[in-house]
Amino acid sequence: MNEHDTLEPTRALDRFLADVEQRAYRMAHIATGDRDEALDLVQEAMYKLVQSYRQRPAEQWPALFQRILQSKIRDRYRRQRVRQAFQRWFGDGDEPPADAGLLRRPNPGPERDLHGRHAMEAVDRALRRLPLRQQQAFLLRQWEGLDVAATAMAMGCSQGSVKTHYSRAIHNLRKQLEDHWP
Amino acid sequence: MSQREHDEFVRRVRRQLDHSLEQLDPDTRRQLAERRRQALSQATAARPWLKPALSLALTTGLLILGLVLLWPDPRASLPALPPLDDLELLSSKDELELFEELEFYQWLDQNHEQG
Repeated sequence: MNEHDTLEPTRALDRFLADVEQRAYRMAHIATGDRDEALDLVQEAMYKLVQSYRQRPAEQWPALFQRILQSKIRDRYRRQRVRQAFQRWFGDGDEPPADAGLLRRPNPGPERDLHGRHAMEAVDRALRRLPLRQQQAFLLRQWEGLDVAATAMAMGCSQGSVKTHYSRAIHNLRKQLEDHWP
Repeated sequence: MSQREHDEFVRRVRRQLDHSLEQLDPDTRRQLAERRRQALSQATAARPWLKPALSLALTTGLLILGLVLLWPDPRASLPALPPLDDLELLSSKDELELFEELEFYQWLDQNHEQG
Protein backbone atom coordinates (compact mmCIF):
# COMPACT_ATOMS: atom_id res chain seq x y z
CA MET A 1 0.00 0.00 0.00
CA ASN A 2 1.52 3.30 -1.04
CA GLU A 3 1.37 6.59 0.83
CA HIS A 4 -1.57 7.86 -1.20
CA ASP A 5 -3.66 4.83 -0.27
CA THR A 6 -3.10 5.38 3.45
CA LEU A 7 -3.53 9.14 3.33
CA GLU A 8 -7.15 9.19 2.20
CA PRO A 9 -8.53 6.82 4.86
CA THR A 10 -6.51 8.71 7.46
CA ARG A 11 -8.07 12.00 6.41
CA ALA A 12 -11.53 10.45 6.38
CA LEU A 13 -10.91 9.00 9.84
CA ASP A 14 -9.69 12.36 11.08
CA ARG A 15 -12.90 13.97 9.88
CA PHE A 16 -15.01 11.22 11.40
CA LEU A 17 -13.26 11.40 14.76
CA ALA A 18 -13.41 15.18 14.81
CA ASP A 19 -17.15 14.89 14.28
CA VAL A 20 -17.77 12.42 17.12
CA GLU A 21 -15.08 13.30 19.66
CA GLN A 22 -17.00 15.88 21.68
CA ARG A 23 -20.10 13.72 22.06
CA ALA A 24 -17.86 10.76 22.87
CA TYR A 25 -16.10 12.81 25.52
CA ARG A 26 -19.40 13.91 27.05
CA MET A 27 -20.67 10.32 27.14
CA ALA A 28 -17.47 9.16 28.81
CA HIS A 29 -17.61 12.08 31.20
CA ILE A 30 -21.22 11.38 32.15
CA ALA A 31 -20.28 7.73 32.76
CA THR A 32 -17.09 8.35 34.70
CA GLY A 33 -17.52 11.78 36.22
CA ASP A 34 -13.82 12.39 35.66
CA ARG A 35 -12.46 14.66 32.95
CA ASP A 36 -9.04 13.04 32.56
CA GLU A 37 -10.45 9.53 32.55
CA ALA A 38 -13.00 10.56 29.96
CA LEU A 39 -10.26 12.02 27.75
CA ASP A 40 -8.18 8.85 28.14
CA LEU A 41 -11.10 6.63 27.23
CA VAL A 42 -11.85 8.64 24.11
CA GLN A 43 -8.22 8.60 23.03
CA GLU A 44 -7.96 4.83 23.57
CA ALA A 45 -11.13 4.27 21.55
CA MET A 46 -9.80 6.49 18.76
CA TYR A 47 -6.48 4.64 18.72
CA LYS A 48 -8.16 1.24 18.62
CA LEU A 49 -10.50 2.24 15.81
CA VAL A 50 -7.67 3.59 13.69
CA GLN A 51 -5.35 0.70 14.42
CA SER A 52 -7.81 -2.13 13.88
CA TYR A 53 -10.66 -0.90 11.73
CA ARG A 54 -9.44 1.89 9.47
CA GLN A 55 -9.78 -0.36 6.43
CA ARG A 56 -13.44 -1.06 7.18
CA PRO A 57 -16.07 0.88 5.20
CA ALA A 58 -16.63 4.34 6.68
CA GLU A 59 -20.32 3.67 7.31
CA GLN A 60 -19.30 1.03 9.87
CA TRP A 61 -17.09 3.41 11.85
CA PRO A 62 -19.80 4.98 14.07
CA ALA A 63 -21.01 1.65 15.47
CA LEU A 64 -17.47 0.27 15.71
CA PHE A 65 -16.20 3.37 17.48
CA GLN A 66 -19.10 3.31 19.92
CA ARG A 67 -18.61 -0.40 20.54
CA ILE A 68 -14.98 0.21 21.47
CA LEU A 69 -15.78 3.25 23.59
CA GLN A 70 -18.73 1.72 25.43
CA SER A 71 -16.77 -1.45 26.07
CA LYS A 72 -13.95 0.59 27.59
CA ILE A 73 -16.42 2.53 29.71
CA ARG A 74 -17.93 -0.76 30.90
CA ASP A 75 -14.51 -2.21 31.74
CA ARG A 76 -13.61 0.90 33.67
CA TYR A 77 -16.95 0.75 35.51
CA ARG A 78 -16.34 -2.90 36.51
CA ARG A 79 -12.81 -2.18 37.70
CA GLN A 80 -14.10 0.69 39.78
CA ARG A 81 -16.74 -1.52 41.38
CA VAL A 82 -14.17 -4.17 42.26
CA ARG A 83 -11.89 -1.49 43.71
CA GLN A 84 -14.75 -0.10 45.77
CA ALA A 85 -15.65 -3.59 47.02
CA PHE A 86 -12.04 -4.12 48.15
CA GLN A 87 -12.04 -0.75 49.86
CA ARG A 88 -15.23 -1.68 51.69
CA TRP A 89 -13.83 -5.07 52.80
CA PHE A 90 -10.61 -3.62 54.09
CA GLY A 91 -12.24 -0.48 55.44
CA ASP A 92 -9.94 1.66 53.34
CA GLY A 93 -11.63 5.00 52.99
CA ASP A 94 -15.24 5.97 52.80
CA GLU A 95 -17.40 4.82 49.97
CA PRO A 96 -17.98 7.73 47.62
CA PRO A 97 -21.55 8.60 46.83
CA ALA A 98 -22.93 7.36 43.52
CA ASP A 99 -22.45 10.74 41.90
CA ALA A 100 -19.14 11.60 43.53
CA GLY A 101 -17.15 14.01 41.47
CA LEU A 102 -20.13 14.74 39.30
CA LEU A 103 -21.91 17.37 41.33
CA ARG A 104 -19.45 20.01 42.17
CA ARG A 105 -21.92 22.82 42.32
CA PRO A 106 -24.67 23.22 44.89
CA ASN A 107 -28.09 22.18 43.70
CA PRO A 108 -29.77 25.42 42.65
CA GLY A 109 -33.25 24.05 43.30
CA PRO A 110 -35.89 22.89 40.87
CA GLU A 111 -37.33 26.33 40.20
CA ARG A 112 -34.15 27.42 38.46
CA ASP A 113 -33.25 24.16 36.79
CA LEU A 114 -35.03 24.93 33.59
CA HIS A 115 -33.01 27.99 32.92
CA GLY A 116 -29.75 28.01 31.06
CA ARG A 117 -26.92 26.18 32.69
CA HIS A 118 -29.09 24.76 35.46
CA ALA A 119 -31.28 22.89 33.03
CA MET A 120 -28.18 21.34 31.55
CA GLU A 121 -26.96 20.35 35.00
CA ALA A 122 -30.31 18.81 35.88
CA VAL A 123 -30.19 16.66 32.75
CA ASP A 124 -26.57 15.78 33.44
CA ARG A 125 -27.40 14.79 36.99
CA ALA A 126 -30.37 12.67 35.92
CA LEU A 127 -28.27 10.88 33.29
CA ARG A 128 -25.45 10.22 35.72
CA ARG A 129 -27.83 8.64 38.19
CA LEU A 130 -28.99 6.11 35.64
CA PRO A 131 -27.47 2.63 35.74
CA LEU A 132 -24.71 2.42 33.14
CA ARG A 133 -26.58 0.24 30.65
CA GLN A 134 -29.62 2.52 30.69
CA GLN A 135 -27.36 5.52 30.25
CA GLN A 136 -25.65 3.88 27.28
CA ALA A 137 -28.90 2.79 25.64
CA PHE A 138 -30.42 6.26 25.94
CA LEU A 139 -27.38 8.21 24.76
CA LEU A 140 -26.58 5.90 21.87
CA ARG A 141 -30.15 5.83 20.63
CA GLN A 142 -31.12 9.44 21.15
CA TRP A 143 -27.92 11.42 21.02
CA GLU A 144 -25.64 9.40 18.82
CA GLY A 145 -28.58 8.50 16.59
CA LEU A 146 -27.83 4.79 16.33
CA ASP A 147 -30.71 2.47 15.51
CA VAL A 148 -31.59 -0.45 17.78
CA ALA A 149 -29.39 -2.92 15.89
CA ALA A 150 -26.34 -0.64 15.91
CA THR A 151 -26.92 0.19 19.57
CA ALA A 152 -27.08 -3.52 20.39
CA MET A 153 -23.82 -4.00 18.50
CA ALA A 154 -22.20 -1.08 20.33
CA MET A 155 -23.40 -2.30 23.73
CA GLY A 156 -22.60 -5.94 23.02
CA CYS A 157 -26.09 -7.16 23.88
CA SER A 158 -29.32 -8.21 22.18
CA GLN A 159 -31.77 -5.81 20.57
CA GLY A 160 -34.34 -6.87 23.14
CA SER A 161 -31.99 -5.81 25.94
CA VAL A 162 -31.47 -2.45 24.26
CA LYS A 163 -35.22 -1.87 24.16
CA THR A 164 -35.56 -2.83 27.82
CA HIS A 165 -32.68 -0.61 28.95
CA TYR A 166 -33.96 2.26 26.82
CA SER A 167 -37.50 1.98 28.14
CA ARG A 168 -36.26 1.95 31.76
CA ALA A 169 -33.97 4.88 31.03
CA ILE A 170 -36.87 6.97 29.73
CA HIS A 171 -38.97 6.02 32.74
CA ASN A 172 -36.21 6.92 35.20
CA LEU A 173 -35.31 10.16 33.45
CA ARG A 174 -38.94 11.24 33.39
CA LYS A 175 -39.23 10.48 37.07
CA GLN A 176 -36.10 12.44 37.94
CA LEU A 177 -37.02 15.41 35.77
CA GLU A 178 -40.76 15.45 36.42
CA ASP A 179 -40.47 18.45 38.73
CA HIS A 180 -38.90 20.36 35.89
CA TRP A 181 -40.68 18.98 32.84
CA PRO A 182 -44.08 17.69 34.00
CA MET B 1 -46.49 8.33 28.01
CA SER B 2 -47.79 8.96 24.51
CA GLN B 3 -45.46 8.97 21.53
CA ARG B 4 -45.81 12.74 21.28
CA GLU B 5 -44.86 13.19 24.96
CA HIS B 6 -41.96 10.81 24.52
CA ASP B 7 -40.68 12.68 21.49
CA GLU B 8 -41.03 16.04 23.22
CA PHE B 9 -39.23 14.79 26.33
CA VAL B 10 -36.38 13.31 24.31
CA ARG B 11 -36.10 16.49 22.25
CA ARG B 12 -35.64 18.54 25.42
CA VAL B 13 -32.98 16.23 26.81
CA ARG B 14 -31.16 16.19 23.49
CA ARG B 15 -31.25 19.97 23.31
CA GLN B 16 -29.60 20.20 26.72
CA LEU B 17 -26.96 17.68 25.70
CA ASP B 18 -26.22 19.63 22.53
CA HIS B 19 -26.05 22.77 24.61
CA SER B 20 -23.47 21.08 26.88
CA LEU B 21 -21.21 20.62 23.86
CA GLU B 22 -21.29 24.32 23.18
CA GLN B 23 -20.26 24.86 26.79
CA LEU B 24 -17.16 22.68 26.56
CA ASP B 25 -14.18 24.66 27.73
CA PRO B 26 -11.42 25.52 25.25
CA ASP B 27 -8.85 23.39 27.04
CA THR B 28 -10.99 20.26 26.73
CA ARG B 29 -11.56 20.98 23.04
CA ARG B 30 -7.83 21.44 22.53
CA GLN B 31 -7.07 18.24 24.44
CA LEU B 32 -9.53 16.27 22.34
CA ALA B 33 -8.01 17.54 19.10
CA GLU B 34 -4.51 16.78 20.36
CA ARG B 35 -5.44 13.27 21.46
CA ARG B 36 -7.11 12.62 18.11
CA ARG B 37 -3.92 13.68 16.37
CA GLN B 38 -1.87 11.40 18.62
CA ALA B 39 -4.18 8.44 18.11
CA LEU B 40 -4.06 8.85 14.35
CA SER B 41 -0.32 9.30 14.13
CA GLN B 42 0.52 6.47 16.54
CA ALA B 43 -1.93 3.97 15.11
CA THR B 44 -0.93 4.62 11.49
CA ALA B 45 2.78 5.15 12.15
CA ALA B 46 5.09 3.21 9.90
CA ARG B 47 7.04 0.66 11.91
CA PRO B 48 10.44 0.32 10.19
CA TRP B 49 11.58 -2.29 12.69
CA LEU B 50 8.62 -4.57 12.02
CA LYS B 51 9.79 -6.08 8.70
CA PRO B 52 13.35 -6.96 9.81
CA ALA B 53 11.96 -8.28 13.11
CA LEU B 54 9.52 -10.55 11.30
CA SER B 55 12.27 -11.75 8.93
CA LEU B 56 14.54 -12.52 11.87
CA ALA B 57 11.78 -14.39 13.70
CA LEU B 58 10.98 -16.43 10.58
CA THR B 59 14.65 -17.30 9.95
CA THR B 60 15.15 -18.31 13.58
CA GLY B 61 12.02 -20.45 13.48
CA LEU B 62 13.13 -22.24 10.33
CA LEU B 63 16.59 -22.79 11.77
CA ILE B 64 15.18 -24.36 14.92
CA LEU B 65 12.83 -26.53 12.89
CA GLY B 66 15.71 -27.70 10.70
CA LEU B 67 17.84 -28.54 13.72
CA VAL B 68 15.02 -30.50 15.32
CA LEU B 69 14.38 -32.48 12.16
CA LEU B 70 18.01 -33.14 11.27
CA TRP B 71 19.45 -33.73 14.73
CA PRO B 72 20.45 -37.41 15.07
CA ASP B 73 17.97 -39.36 17.13
CA PRO B 74 19.78 -40.40 20.37
CA ARG B 75 17.55 -43.44 20.67
CA ALA B 76 19.01 -44.82 17.42
CA SER B 77 22.41 -45.41 19.07
CA LEU B 78 21.04 -47.36 22.04
CA PRO B 79 21.21 -51.15 21.93
CA ALA B 80 18.03 -52.72 20.74
CA LEU B 81 15.62 -53.66 23.49
CA PRO B 82 15.35 -57.37 24.15
CA PRO B 83 12.29 -59.04 22.74
CA LEU B 84 9.22 -59.10 24.94
CA ASP B 85 9.53 -62.88 25.52
CA ASP B 86 13.01 -62.40 26.96
CA LEU B 87 11.71 -59.70 29.27
CA GLU B 88 9.14 -62.11 30.63
CA LEU B 89 11.85 -64.67 31.28
CA LEU B 90 14.02 -62.13 33.01
CA SER B 91 11.24 -60.87 35.22
CA SER B 92 10.93 -64.04 37.31
CA LYS B 93 13.69 -66.17 38.81
CA ASP B 94 11.55 -69.33 38.88
CA GLU B 95 10.47 -69.01 35.32
CA LEU B 96 14.07 -68.47 34.22
CA GLU B 97 15.11 -71.71 35.86
CA LEU B 98 12.21 -73.48 34.25
CA PHE B 99 13.20 -72.30 30.81
CA GLU B 100 16.87 -73.06 31.35
CA GLU B 101 15.97 -76.63 32.27
CA LEU B 102 13.17 -76.91 29.76
CA GLU B 103 14.69 -79.88 27.96
CA PHE B 104 15.11 -81.70 31.28
CA TYR B 105 11.51 -81.10 32.28
CA GLN B 106 10.30 -82.25 28.87
CA TRP B 107 12.34 -85.42 29.18
CA LEU B 108 11.06 -85.94 32.73
CA ASP B 109 7.53 -85.50 31.58
CA GLN B 110 7.92 -88.01 28.75
CA ASN B 111 9.48 -90.57 31.10
CA HIS B 112 6.74 -90.03 33.61
CA GLU B 113 4.08 -90.73 30.99
CA GLN B 114 5.92 -93.84 29.76
CA GLY B 115 6.55 -95.09 33.29
